[in-house]
Amino acid sequence: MRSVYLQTVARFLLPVFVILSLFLLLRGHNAPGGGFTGGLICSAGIALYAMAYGTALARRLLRVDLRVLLGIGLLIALASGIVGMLPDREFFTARWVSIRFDENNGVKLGTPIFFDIGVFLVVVGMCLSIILSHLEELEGRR
Amino acid sequence: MGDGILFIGSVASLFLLAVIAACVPAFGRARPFVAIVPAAWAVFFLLAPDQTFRLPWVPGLNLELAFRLDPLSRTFAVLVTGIGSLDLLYGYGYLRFGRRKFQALILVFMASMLGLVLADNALLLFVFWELTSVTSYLLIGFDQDSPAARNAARRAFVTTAAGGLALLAGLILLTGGTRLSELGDAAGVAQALPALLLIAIGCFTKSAQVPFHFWLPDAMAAPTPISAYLHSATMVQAGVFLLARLQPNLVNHPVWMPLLVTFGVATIVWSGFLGLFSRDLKRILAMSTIAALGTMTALIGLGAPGALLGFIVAHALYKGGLFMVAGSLDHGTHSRDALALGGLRRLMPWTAAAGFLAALSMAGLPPAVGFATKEALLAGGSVGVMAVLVLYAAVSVMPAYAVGVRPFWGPVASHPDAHECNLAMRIGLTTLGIAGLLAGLFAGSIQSRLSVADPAWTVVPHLGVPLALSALGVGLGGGVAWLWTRLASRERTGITAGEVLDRLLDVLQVASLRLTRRLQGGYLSVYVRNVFLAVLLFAGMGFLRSFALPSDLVLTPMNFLEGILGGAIIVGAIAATRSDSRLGAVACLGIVGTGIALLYVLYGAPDLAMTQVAVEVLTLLLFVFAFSHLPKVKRPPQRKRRAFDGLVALFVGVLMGGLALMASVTPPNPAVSQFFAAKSLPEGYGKNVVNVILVDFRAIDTLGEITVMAVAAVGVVALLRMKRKPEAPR
Repeated sequence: MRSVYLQTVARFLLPVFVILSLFLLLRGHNAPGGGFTGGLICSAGIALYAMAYGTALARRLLRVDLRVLLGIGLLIALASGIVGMLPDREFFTARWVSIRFDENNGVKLGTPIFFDIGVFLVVVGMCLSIILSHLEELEGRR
Repeated sequence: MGDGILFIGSVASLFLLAVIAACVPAFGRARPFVAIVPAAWAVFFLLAPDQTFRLPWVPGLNLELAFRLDPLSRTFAVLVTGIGSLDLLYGYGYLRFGRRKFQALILVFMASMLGLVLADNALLLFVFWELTSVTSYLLIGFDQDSPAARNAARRAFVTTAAGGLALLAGLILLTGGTRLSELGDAAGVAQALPALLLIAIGCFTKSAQVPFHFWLPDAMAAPTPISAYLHSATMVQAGVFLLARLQPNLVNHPVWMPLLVTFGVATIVWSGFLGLFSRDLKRILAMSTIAALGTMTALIGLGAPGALLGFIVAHALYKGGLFMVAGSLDHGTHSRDALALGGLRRLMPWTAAAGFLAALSMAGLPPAVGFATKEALLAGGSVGVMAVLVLYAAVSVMPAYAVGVRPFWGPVASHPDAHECNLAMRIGLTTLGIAGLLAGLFAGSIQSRLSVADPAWTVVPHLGVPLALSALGVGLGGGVAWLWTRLASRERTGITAGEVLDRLLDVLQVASLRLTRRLQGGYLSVYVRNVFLAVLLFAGMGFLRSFALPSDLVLTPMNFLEGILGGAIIVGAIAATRSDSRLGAVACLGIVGTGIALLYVLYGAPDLAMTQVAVEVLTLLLFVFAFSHLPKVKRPPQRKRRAFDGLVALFVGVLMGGLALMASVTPPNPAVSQFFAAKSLPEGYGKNVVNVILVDFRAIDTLGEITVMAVAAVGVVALLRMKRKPEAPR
């Protein structure tokens, strides 16, 4: 569907989708959101872009092969669990580091966010693998 | 943790080295030096004292990393790493392409085999056992484009994996989680007999005993460096290793000896017979390896594991050497026909020398180590041991002659343009040959290193019964060799067990194809109908049996918003079934989905709602895009079909509604949700309880979920790709 309307819309919406998905990913721990939802929204944005501009451009946009993306996501998720194991605890013990800016403000960083990032990447990889493959099949029929 | 360095360090470093060898692109000159690492480990293992090591993981389930080093495991560890390093070098010289894949796979295999021989925990041993099966599948099918290689790999894997399952069952029955080193006399254990049989099946499949021997000759489709390592020195020995490891525990069982001796002797006889009709160098060697494994099995059954270690060492050295000789001959003359090669000693001097030394050891002649170990076994053994060894000698002279001597003998070179192999290959060849000689000359010190207390090993022949028996064996062997020269030109064909396996797998494939065609007609409605019917059958039965509403059920009145949303959903669903256009139906389904998402919001589950909406949007986009490519005309389904579908839909709807009702009415255990709600902020540092549960409290479950998602994605892509490029089955 090389329609100009779709292309224009997709071009503007893609960054919105991606930023929204990252926003949902990062806020997931304290408010509705999380890796799964963020991943779905990111895939939706890229899928829209692929429908407008073609799957070849969409894959080039991603820069990494989708299988590699799946693998990296799984590795990050696994690594976040192993990190918890290191000094003599169990697999997937969450480690937290607290950074204080001043008396009232501070930030806690922990391994669960990395796990969520891994989930995000796997969801994106999975959805896009399936969607882009189907789109390519449809394109090929033309 | 300090003394775990030997165990964990060796296995882990080899895995790591494999990853490095795989990822770094072919960097030419430096590749051969990869072989230094396993060689170094071989030396460490040779010098290290006996020790054990434990790293507990889940003590309640007896899961731990338990390793031990004793004479048996030390012998194998040194063999695995030492011959492995020589083979890495040899393979580097032999292969023109695929060096990176070769090194990576061989190193992974080496690490797995090493872990297998060092493991003290039965489950750990099993994990490594299966790893060796998987890597050997990849190695046998090294030449991916050759259907013969793929077929051989499949046969090998199916056989050894099936055996592996039996092994797992047997190990669990026998040990129940105790460490192997603490097992004691297990012959009296309650389920000793089934355990013994199952373990025997596992070991026999791996070590190619009759009737599971057929995969080994086919595995010769792999390149020679792989055959030299896997199918002579290491992998096939895994079964023998396990039998030797369990021998002290099971020796008192009445079935132990007859089982092992029967199968072992049958294996020797059958493989010797088959070898008479073989012409291909590697096939001859494969048959002789099967015979050697049969000998080892029978010897373990007869109770001679001490000097058996010497036999194993000698066999690994000369068999690996002979395989390398065969590879060198193949490399230099492009022929593997044992009857056609001759007179090549001037053109290939190093290979000839290595072949001669290996043949000497195999035939059990002084001063090679093969002679020393055989004499020791004969001197210390019973009548049964003597008989087995004479039998083995009778069938092993022929391969030694055919591969190690005959191609180089004679006045005229059969292939005048043959060339000697390159340096990398020569190092491997000659090292093994010389090792056989040196091991023979220094047999005494090796014996003490392996702490075997049997009669002293020596290569000096002295008169006595052992020498007479050796002479008898060699004499018989000579006769067999002569017989071979007569018979080998007629290559015997006929139904082999391997072909039976192939037919079986073919039948399975055809049957599953038929079933799939029946169940999946190609129309989406057929798939959905079949899925719903299955759901009705399985879930419905359970539902009918347990459906019960509590008697004090109170229905709260519906509020305005719920009413509107519920009504919209119902209207949307009905409109979807009645719509004439596809897009209209999809739009109505969109109404249903969005309505459900809004209900989630209403009931306080915003995460769910967002996910639902996102999925709705995605599927809507896909539908629209897909429909724009479909033909305009839609075939209306027949009346009867529609009525049946409606009935199925009705029942499934009632089932789902009933399940939802039951679930909402049954009071859940509040303890779990209270725990999560209470601990989410203080311990999980998050206010979104759902997310904290997903990524923190129950992270392992989520890890499993995303793994499944990744696998599903790969599967879908592969299926779609197969559709685009149709390839012939198999």
